Amino acid sequence: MPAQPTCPECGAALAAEAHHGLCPKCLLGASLGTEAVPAPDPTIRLTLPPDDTATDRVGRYKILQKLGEGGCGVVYMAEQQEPVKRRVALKVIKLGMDSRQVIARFEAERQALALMDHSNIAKVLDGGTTQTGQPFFVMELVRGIPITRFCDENRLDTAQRLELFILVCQAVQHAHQKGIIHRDIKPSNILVADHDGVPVPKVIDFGIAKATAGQTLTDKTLFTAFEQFMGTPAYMSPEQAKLSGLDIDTRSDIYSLGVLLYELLTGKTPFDSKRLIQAGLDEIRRIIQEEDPPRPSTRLSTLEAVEQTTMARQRQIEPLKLAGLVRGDLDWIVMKCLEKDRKRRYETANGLAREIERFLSDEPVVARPPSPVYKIQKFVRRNKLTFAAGCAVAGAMILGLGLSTWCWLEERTARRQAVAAEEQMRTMVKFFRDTQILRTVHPKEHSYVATGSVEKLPGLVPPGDPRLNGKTYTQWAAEWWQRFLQMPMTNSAGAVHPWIDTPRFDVSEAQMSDVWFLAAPFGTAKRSCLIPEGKSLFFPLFCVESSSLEEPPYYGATTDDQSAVAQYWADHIVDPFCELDGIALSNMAPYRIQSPQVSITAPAPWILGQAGGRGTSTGDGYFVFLSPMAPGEHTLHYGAAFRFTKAQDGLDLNDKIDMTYHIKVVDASVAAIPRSGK
Amino acid sequence: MELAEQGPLPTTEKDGWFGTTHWTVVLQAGEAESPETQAALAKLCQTYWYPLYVFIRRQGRNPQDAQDLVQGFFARVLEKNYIQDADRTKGRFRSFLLLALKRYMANEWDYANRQKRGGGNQVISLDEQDSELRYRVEPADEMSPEKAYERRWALILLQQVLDRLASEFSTPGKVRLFDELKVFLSGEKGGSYAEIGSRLGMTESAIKVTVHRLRQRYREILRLEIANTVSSPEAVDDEIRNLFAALS
Repeated sequence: MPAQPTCPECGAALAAEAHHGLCPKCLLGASLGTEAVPAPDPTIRLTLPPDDTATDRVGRYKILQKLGEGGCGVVYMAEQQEPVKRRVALKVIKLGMDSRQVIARFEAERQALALMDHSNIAKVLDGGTTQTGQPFFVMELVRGIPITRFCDENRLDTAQRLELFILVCQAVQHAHQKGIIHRDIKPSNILVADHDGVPVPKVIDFGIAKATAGQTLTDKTLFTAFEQFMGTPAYMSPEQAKLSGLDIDTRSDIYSLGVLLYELLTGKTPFDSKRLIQAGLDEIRRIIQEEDPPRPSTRLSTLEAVEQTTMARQRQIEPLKLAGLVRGDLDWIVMKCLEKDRKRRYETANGLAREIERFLSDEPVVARPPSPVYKIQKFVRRNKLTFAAGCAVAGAMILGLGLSTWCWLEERTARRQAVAAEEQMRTMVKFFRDTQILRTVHPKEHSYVATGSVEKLPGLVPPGDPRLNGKTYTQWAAEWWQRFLQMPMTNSAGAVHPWIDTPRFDVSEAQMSDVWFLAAPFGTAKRSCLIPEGKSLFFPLFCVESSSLEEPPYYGATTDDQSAVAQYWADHIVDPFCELDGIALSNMAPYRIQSPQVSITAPAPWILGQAGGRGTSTGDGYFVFLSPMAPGEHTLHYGAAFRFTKAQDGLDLNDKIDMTYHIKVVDASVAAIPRSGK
Repeated sequence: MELAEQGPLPTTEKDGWFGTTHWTVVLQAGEAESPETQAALAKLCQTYWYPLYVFIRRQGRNPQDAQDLVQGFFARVLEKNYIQDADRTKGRFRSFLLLALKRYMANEWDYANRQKRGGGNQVISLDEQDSELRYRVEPADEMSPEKAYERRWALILLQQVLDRLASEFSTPGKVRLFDELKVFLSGEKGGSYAEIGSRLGMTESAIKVTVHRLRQRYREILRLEIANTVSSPEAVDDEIRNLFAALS
């Protein structure tokens, strides 16, 4: 005789009358004291909502909210209860890594990490494994923004930037003395917090890179080898780029510090990030190991006039003077850090810091108070912000909310995988590109694609058109393909549907032509499309875009201001959500767009339409990747809210996007797919 | 007179409440006998007859009498006189129904002339065969008939709510989802998000979000169902508390 079932909440015996096996008292109890009127439009949170986190604990840490995501894992704000109560940053490394190895390495370093005690280093406090076997690290919670952004937004002049930089060097020095190499120094790992008006840089993620280093990818396909380089390869030292597993020593950190200094001075990295992104894996490594970057002063003088003005403005100096200031000693200091041969670089971070100090004391220090913190009000009124649903992107980069880390590969597998990935990538790009064209042109023009004469297609932006921004169709497709590779490997749209892929996403050659890029037309109320069955969809959902596409830049507002505005809005995105046929998707991921400044661009030249024009675009948004859906009508419902508060932002503003996209999947034998995709 | 103290019934739409729930339809009709009123009342009776049955049986009547009583009572309650009892029941249909039944049993039901089984005018359809079967599985305890009635009322209500919620998850893919996640309607301890997620091939976050939605929808439906039996939006919370107490 089966035992009487009991309610898991209150322990009472469940009578036979308990409908659906649920305890009636607890059912009612659960609804006591809730809101009186049902909300007409429930907003779904994909981050952990505060009221649901009572049961979310990792070890002795209680998860409060998600802060960001990076290449290796997710970072949360958590609360430590014992022995002291405080807020910490908790980083969970994602599955796919050998947890034991990661933890073992971390433990080895932990002793040394515990000895680190420097005001400019965020302490690593703890580490362990979650219930699901994922390694996690607990770090001091730093509330700040990346150093480069901080300097730009607050318009710190060169001397002020150098002073911040010296503090960073001192922090790195301290760690080096304890035998800890960071391995992943870059602006997103150096957060500047404001302590009573005094900017305090904090270097985060010490010890993490090493712990996660040397991971053999267990559960991943070839394409993630490529994925590793999708952060900011610009900061990678030549010996790291070699992937030879050579002993990386402190001088690798010195190189990265040099790149940071370069960027603080000129606003650019030695090798342009956009250029690196477009290049293949091997190309990136070659560039870093072999090419000589231009000197900072040279870089400054070869910038376009408008960019020069921007850089200068952000550093409170006349454009001509900026180049002059940098030329000479500063040039020399930076380039010494960036030497390919590590023996020729500065031996220690302290050595570098002292050089800078000497430079500073020779130069008359311009005592200027930092400019007022960037005020949003005037720009909200003056600038036009467009919320573009499903906008296609130009010159895209992945922004991992300042908290991504590198994941390293063993040399043997890495080389093999990298070469194969490179080849695969090229093939895929071609398929990808051709597919996009096939999707949008009339079937009778498909022959152009088949014969390889894509450029002859009428209505395509002609090669060499300024809208292509100097890139070929293939390069554009390559960028998009990079993005595609970034997508999370686990498909989570609900396995109850038989047509959803299993969690591992393997793209075989046959499937490559089956990825379609879905772009919602601008400015139309009705959003729908028709696709043949068997296609996977890459769908940029929405982005906060600051664009001067239709109007000239407002007088006095530079395009950098506009980017900052877009960034500001994007930073206030809350509650992004996406559902397919009523089921929440959890593989919605953020992305960022950043088009070149003051030039004419088109989102993707082969997507025919009215897009493109004069101006620039920057923004942040979210996208999803959908596996092939069953024939029939599907609904994609997505959006987000934007929240500004008087207290934090100086104004009260609430806005939201809520969109529905109808996707009709039809039998593959449907002959003509109309150009508008209706 | 509770209802009079609340002032005249609203004549303008307020938050869509006016005239939309069953009981308010009946209340606002007052003396009128429109088809809408009849329909609203019939719907309420159809849903909540069983608690009355329980009450009658608890009072000691046999099954046949109980069924006749229920049928006869409902035939009577649709007549206008009884609606005035609503004045004394704070606008709660639940209370009204019991009060009206008691009055009926005391004054009007003619034991001797009760309808033969199967004959007579059946105002609403009761599953007569099942009513007694259902009653037999009622817990045998010392509860008063009134308490038994209220308790059963609460259970019927929840059944309505859950059935309605389940019907919204009736497509093949969602049925399983509902089955797995409904346990979270009463709290957090019924299962593990991660474990269920791995069973369904969803991530924990996706499960979390779906549970959140499910709970929201459950609450909405609960409030809607209760709204059918009270006279104002403010009374819904109160009724939830009463029903919660009835289950204790």
